[in-house]
Amino acid sequence: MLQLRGMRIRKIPLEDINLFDKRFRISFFCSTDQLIQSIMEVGLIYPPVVTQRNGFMIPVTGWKRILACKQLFLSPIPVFVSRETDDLKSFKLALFENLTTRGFNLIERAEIVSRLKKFGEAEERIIQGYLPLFGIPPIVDYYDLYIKISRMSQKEKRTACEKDMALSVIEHLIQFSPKERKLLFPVIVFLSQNKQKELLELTREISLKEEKPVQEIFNSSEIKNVLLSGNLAPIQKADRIRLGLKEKRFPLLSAQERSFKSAKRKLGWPKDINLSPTPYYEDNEAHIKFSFTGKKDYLKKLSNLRRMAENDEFAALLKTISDE
Amino acid sequence: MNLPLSSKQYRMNNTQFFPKKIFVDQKSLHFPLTEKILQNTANTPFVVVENIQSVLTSVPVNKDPVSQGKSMLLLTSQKGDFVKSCPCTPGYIGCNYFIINLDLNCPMDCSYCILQHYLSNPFITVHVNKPDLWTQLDEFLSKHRNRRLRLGTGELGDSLALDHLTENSLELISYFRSKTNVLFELKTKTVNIKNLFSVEPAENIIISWSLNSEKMAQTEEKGAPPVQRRIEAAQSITKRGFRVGFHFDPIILHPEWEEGYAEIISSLFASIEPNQIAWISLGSLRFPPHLKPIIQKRFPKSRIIYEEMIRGKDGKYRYFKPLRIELYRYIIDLIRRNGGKEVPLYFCMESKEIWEKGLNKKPRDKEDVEKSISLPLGICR
Repeated sequence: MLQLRGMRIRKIPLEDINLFDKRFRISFFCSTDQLIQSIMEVGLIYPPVVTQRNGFMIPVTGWKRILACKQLFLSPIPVFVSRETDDLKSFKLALFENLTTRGFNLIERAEIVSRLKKFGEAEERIIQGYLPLFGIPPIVDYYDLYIKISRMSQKEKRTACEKDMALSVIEHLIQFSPKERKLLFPVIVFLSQNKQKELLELTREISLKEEKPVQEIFNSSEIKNVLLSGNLAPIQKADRIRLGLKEKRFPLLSAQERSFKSAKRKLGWPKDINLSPTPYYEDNEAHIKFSFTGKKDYLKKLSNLRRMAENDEFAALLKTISDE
Repeated sequence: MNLPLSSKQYRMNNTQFFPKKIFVDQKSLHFPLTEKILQNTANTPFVVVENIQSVLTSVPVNKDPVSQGKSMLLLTSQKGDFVKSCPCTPGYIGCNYFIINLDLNCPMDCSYCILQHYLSNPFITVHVNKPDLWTQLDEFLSKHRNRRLRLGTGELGDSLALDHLTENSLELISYFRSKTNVLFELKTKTVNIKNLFSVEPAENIIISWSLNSEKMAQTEEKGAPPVQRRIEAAQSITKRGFRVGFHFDPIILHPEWEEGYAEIISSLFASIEPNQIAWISLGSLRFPPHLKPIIQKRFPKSRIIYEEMIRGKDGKYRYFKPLRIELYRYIIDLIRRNGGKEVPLYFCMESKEIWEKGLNKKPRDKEDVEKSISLPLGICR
């Protein structure tokens, strides 16, 4: 009989395996399609590991394999039966088996950290011994972060996985309450990573500064109108909301930007000459950039620039750059 | 000369810093300053360590290493230069200041403090190799003997927070007293001034205080005395014969900031004669981006980072320019109206435009700024 570290291989009917007990499950929101095809082609190569708890066999490793066999109505299946009664040791078996064959996504890493804690592994040992295995720096802040991520709802975790959300975005998200996240998730999923972060940061900072709950900010008529608009695609709505929040967070800067654009428009600034203030108007100067093809084009653009300077509106434009 | 205030008056056992544990670098054990500090902290356990790095890694790190470090004192030697040019910040005008890195870190815990992010070692560190300091200072001053210099110890630590343990102020003042081309500044937020009553004042020694609105001191400067007490300490120091300086830095926008700063400036000029003030510097809140999450984590109740701040030319967060101009003009006006018309004012880390709009001055560079601060003293002529 085949044995592996004291585990015997046995064939057991699938119905004897309690799939509702997910204590050792690591794989989340994964597809079994490829595995089904593999089993159909060459059979089950590596038997899953199961162990007994409360009179039932429960999976330790090979969740996807068991699910695939179930979908193929393959029963009984060969399994290794572990006699290990300690949950932490069994979980480590699942963890290291997976670790050698694949990487973990963000949510899986969070689940692993949380499960190690739940099964009694010391916090210091998790930080020093396990985080580096996943490429996470052995710092208590990261430990705390992953524990918080593991507390997100199943729906949020699924979305985070499906949308391949970045750690830096999730880090911002978990600073909000579950109720607030319910409002934010559907908006941010359509944005790029940087804009997701920006929207979350703006929302949080407005909420803290004005001491307003996120619900109140999102209940404002401006945001409501955007959300209820039938003419805008979800990504357009998300971007409008982001820009609206930016105006609210940076009212003076936004006003100056509006004045600058408006003065440029009034002056009829040529589109092929780029005029820009210094970042955030920090210096009282502006920059001009244009390209030209030959002397004639060059002189034409200079003449346009001269024409701008002679216009009465030019002083108003300068004022938007250099006056406080 | 006025009699010094009694030592009791300034002995504030409840606010003076005493570490919970001291680490002594074995190679620094023989310095007299080590012995002095260990005598002054007789009840504090200390450990002699062979390797400082091992101390840094052996202390179990809790969730807030910055706070943890503030309860521990490390006595070691400065291996590099004690005296450095103040780096100021790229893109803005400096003031030609030189810093003496004697103590690093500080027992107070200000939310906006750059040291939370800047220092690689969270412990309060005292460099005890004073003989090297004097040698380096001699060389430095000899090299710059034909120019005026402004030097101070309060850049990477508070100049007086550890003075009851180190008594550094006594030796520094004695050393600089005769260096007439030097303005030496001890910069503090504390009222730990007892030692200053046992040393003779000199015209080129400036004791200066960081000031803020009382509200900001209360909420953002944990462990620092109320601003009114700092002003009282400054007043007693002027009575002793020292000249004083003040630093409104960082000036922080907060609800009712106008009233907050007005009260302090009014109290300042009610307590201190303007001609005893060597200078007042102004700087608005600014911090590198890395400090923001640290403030958010360590001071979750603080709201100071949520005003309208942009990334300046140096990449640091600072108030949007019109806000800076508004607050500077307001504070400068307060200083001038309260009697500080002749007091030299300067900006810390500001642009030419702000200098012009705030102070109506057009310094070309840091040398220009330096001149405007040092000349009224009549030294180095």
